[in-house]
Amino acid sequence: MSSVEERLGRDIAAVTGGVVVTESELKDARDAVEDRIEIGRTRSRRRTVAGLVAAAVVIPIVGVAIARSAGDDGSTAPPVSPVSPTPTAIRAPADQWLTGAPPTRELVKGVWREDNGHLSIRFSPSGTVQFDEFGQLFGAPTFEGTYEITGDVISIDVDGGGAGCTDANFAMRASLPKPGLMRFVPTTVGSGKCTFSQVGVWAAWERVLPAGPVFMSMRIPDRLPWGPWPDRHSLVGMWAAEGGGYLLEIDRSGSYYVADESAKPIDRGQWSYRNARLTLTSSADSVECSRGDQVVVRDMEQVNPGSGTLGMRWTVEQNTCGGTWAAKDWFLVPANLG
Amino acid sequence: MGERHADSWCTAAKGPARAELVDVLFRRHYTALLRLGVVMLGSREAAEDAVQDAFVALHRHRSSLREPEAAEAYLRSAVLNRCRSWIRRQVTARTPRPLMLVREHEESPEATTVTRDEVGSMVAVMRTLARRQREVLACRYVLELSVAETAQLLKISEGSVKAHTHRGLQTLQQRIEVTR
Repeated sequence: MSSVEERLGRDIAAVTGGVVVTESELKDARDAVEDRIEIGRTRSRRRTVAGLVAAAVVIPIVGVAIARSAGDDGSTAPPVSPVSPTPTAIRAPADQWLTGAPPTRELVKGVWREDNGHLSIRFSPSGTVQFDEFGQLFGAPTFEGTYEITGDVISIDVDGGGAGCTDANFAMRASLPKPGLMRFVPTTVGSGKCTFSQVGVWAAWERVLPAGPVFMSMRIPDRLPWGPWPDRHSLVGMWAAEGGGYLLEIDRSGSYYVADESAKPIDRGQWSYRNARLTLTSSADSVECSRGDQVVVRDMEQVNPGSGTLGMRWTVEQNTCGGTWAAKDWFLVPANLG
Repeated sequence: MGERHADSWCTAAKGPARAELVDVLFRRHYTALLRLGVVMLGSREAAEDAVQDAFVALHRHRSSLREPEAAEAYLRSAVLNRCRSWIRRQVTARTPRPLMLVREHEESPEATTVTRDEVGSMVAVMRTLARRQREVLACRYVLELSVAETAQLLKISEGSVKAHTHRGLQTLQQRIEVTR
């Protein structure tokens, strides 16, 4: 055996030796497989109906989005299904695009989501900013830093985050034509290690927290078919409460965050999904809950119009903290979840 | 006992008997398959997903499997397929969108895995090899299959297995030399 084979064998043994499966984990995995098999059976039974229902469901969603878009901003590009978003991108003279109030810290504070896109950004009144591509705005943002507003220009200096963009600078001209809607035109698309891919793309952003009119009015239509929750991986992402007011971020790492209209986390901790129950256990960092408080939910259901999970609802089994957000239904704020 | 169970699971077991036999297969293969997934992907979470998905697929295709060994081979093949798909999805997720943050010297998913996990380890470097090379090395050194068994699992000739093994090890050797 050559030395490279020996070393490869040794490294593989080291990696696989670290993969230990406990009885409990084995049971969880086994249950997850059974869940998926059962869901497959259910889907099979519903296949005929689902085809008809899916068509009936997608059309109203897109229709609502079109109606909203036309109402909010007649110049935006046609929206697509919220589960397969395409960012709204406009190329027009800047002064025609940048109408309404200039940005101020008061106006931009909160969590914003790229209109029909995957990106989210949070401006705090104190001057900090987080930007995210992967649905981990609170837990592990792509970059974070500080921002300044001069006239209608928002300048961002990056000082951290998961993308290694430290020391990058971004700047954009921005305007707020209506409450909850921000438009911007990039003027500095990055420096240092990170830049945005297209200089000339202008974008619109919708405010998620405090909920702007779009997010406030979003409802999961009653006619949508609810089905069993598929698996724990489908939990990962940012979820907006139906009717606004809260954002629930569930990270791959096992952390969760609940933010309220202040756009700050009011509860945070660790989540687990076992035996079709989601448990959120508050950590010591939680603002409104005590360490060890738990929200346990069962009978989880999803709305999946055919191209991915869109809505989530559950039955609360335990809520020791008493947060009213636990009783909400949720819809996914699209992110690039890979 | 377990072999007999596995045999019958592939043919006629239903209800409680089927559940019991899935348990047998799970106990026998889950950990080994999970380890294969972790070596291939560098992520336990992704590996768990791939392995569970393989068991669901096995359930779906159980009627076409005749031998207990067939279930094992099916599971191994299904996990490798899902690992391949996962890596492909990672690449797709990084294709440019109209507004996307572009990192300087953006790394491939494999290279990212190297950075995140075991920098410098041979396993991390193995993940950066060409698909066939890493799959052949995984079969030979993780599953400890023979050349013939590897060829059968990957549906390639024994000559190809030897060639991919040789090239894979050669590349690993070169990487070691470069990093010294």
